[in-house]
Amino acid sequence: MDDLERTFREGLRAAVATKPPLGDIDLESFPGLRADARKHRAWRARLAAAAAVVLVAGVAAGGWYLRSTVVIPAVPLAPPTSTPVQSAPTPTAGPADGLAGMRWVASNVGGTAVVGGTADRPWLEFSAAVDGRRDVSGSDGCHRLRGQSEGTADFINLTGWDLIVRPCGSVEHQQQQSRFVSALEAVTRLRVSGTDLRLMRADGTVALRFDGTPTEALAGPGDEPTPTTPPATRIFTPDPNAEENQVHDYPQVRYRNDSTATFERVLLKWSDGGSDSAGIDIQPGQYSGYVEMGYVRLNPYVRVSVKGKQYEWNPPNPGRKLTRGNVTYVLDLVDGLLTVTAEVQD
Amino acid sequence: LSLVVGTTQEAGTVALTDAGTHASFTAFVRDRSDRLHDVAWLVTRNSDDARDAVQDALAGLYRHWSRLPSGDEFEAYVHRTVVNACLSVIRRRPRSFPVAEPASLRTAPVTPDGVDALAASDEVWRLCGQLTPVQRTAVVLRFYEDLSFAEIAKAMGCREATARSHVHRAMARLRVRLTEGQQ
Repeated sequence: MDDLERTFREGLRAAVATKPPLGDIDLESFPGLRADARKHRAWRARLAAAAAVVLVAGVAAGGWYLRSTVVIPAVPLAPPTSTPVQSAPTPTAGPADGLAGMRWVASNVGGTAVVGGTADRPWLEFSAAVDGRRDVSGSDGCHRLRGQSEGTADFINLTGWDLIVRPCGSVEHQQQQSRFVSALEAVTRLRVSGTDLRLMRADGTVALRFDGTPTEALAGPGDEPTPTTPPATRIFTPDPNAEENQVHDYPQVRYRNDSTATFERVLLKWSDGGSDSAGIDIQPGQYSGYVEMGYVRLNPYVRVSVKGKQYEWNPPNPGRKLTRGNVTYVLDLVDGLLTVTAEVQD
Repeated sequence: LSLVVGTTQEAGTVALTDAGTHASFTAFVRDRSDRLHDVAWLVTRNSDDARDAVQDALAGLYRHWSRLPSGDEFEAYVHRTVVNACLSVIRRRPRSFPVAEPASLRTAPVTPDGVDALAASDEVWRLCGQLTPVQRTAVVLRFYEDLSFAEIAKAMGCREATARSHVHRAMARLRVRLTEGQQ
């Protein structure tokens, strides 16, 4: 077995070690097994209790060795819904209070000082917590971000990022934007002290550092994209079967109709070396299939037809180059205005 | 002793003539459900989907329990049922991909160089997220379930060469990613 295979094995086992509990198998849906289901639950409870003891003992034994290197959180991000494994230590820090009502402007991304002026700096804003959940909005310095956070200061979970297409800056800024989003992905905990916010990785190192400013002290209009002339491109028809069984060596692109209207026709065009994607009769909520696009940039020109009328979205610029990953363009039509949101997984 | 047992998905009932069948199925659930859940979690990468896939797989196995083959054929049937359940769940619940799975970073193999291990395991998780469900299934069966390529092919209903190709391409991709990360 070579090192790479060992890496795969260890990586998969590490992932399994963090998975949420299975909970009870619904053996009640097998009527003849109800009695056994009760036994099964009792067995699971005993196993869970034993596992919790092992976990606590393991954390206690490993704590000294791991103190300065890898920190293993002792409780899950979200409480398990059904399996009663609750005897691990609880985090000492309280909820991430002091987050809301501030704009957190990044000062350091992955150990590198942020470049650019105020407008080019990544920032985040957190809403007030509701049941431990917060909406998070912000920018990587170019693209608008939306997401959610869940959990406590020690075990925050940042997910569901939507990337809203906007103009990008220089190559240096684009590299910073990429580092910022990558750093966000690695965040599992935070520390907030006054106007100092630190988002940290699982190993305790600081992924991102922010300076906070009360949002009421901020002023100025929102910065929505300004339509310009659409770029010229080539024509191409998507393969409806492209979603599965494809090797993602190139960007995989699809779109979703997020409006309440049926899109009679959808056209996406990329300006540089990319292809076009067209579809017909896309129902509300419906996804297109994934299409492998080759090397394209992020921002396409989009045109949809609804009841014979055409609606366009013109990107201000092509955006950053995509070389891999999945992109879902979320198309919405509100009051005659077509909006395009790119959900990106690099 | 005869028992009449309702099925989960079909109207009507199925008669099981041996109480031992019940006992063996319950024992199977007790012994194997967590392991099946591991596979489902790795393939679907979503806790709800993984639970649904396990439940669907068990329901499918239960319907045919008294007629299932034994030995290696039984294991192949179980794997195939779980794989089909996972892929079916993924297919019927299209969604945008989560950008981050920070939960995957919470633990890592504890080695003298824990930081490197953390990075490597994180890279494996990220890479698996970029694979197609079918490729990911092959990788999980190979490196988590430690199946041979012939067994993977049986579980996935494909040719052995195809299973081998899925795994090798995924590994090549991980090699590139890890190399990039070291530069």
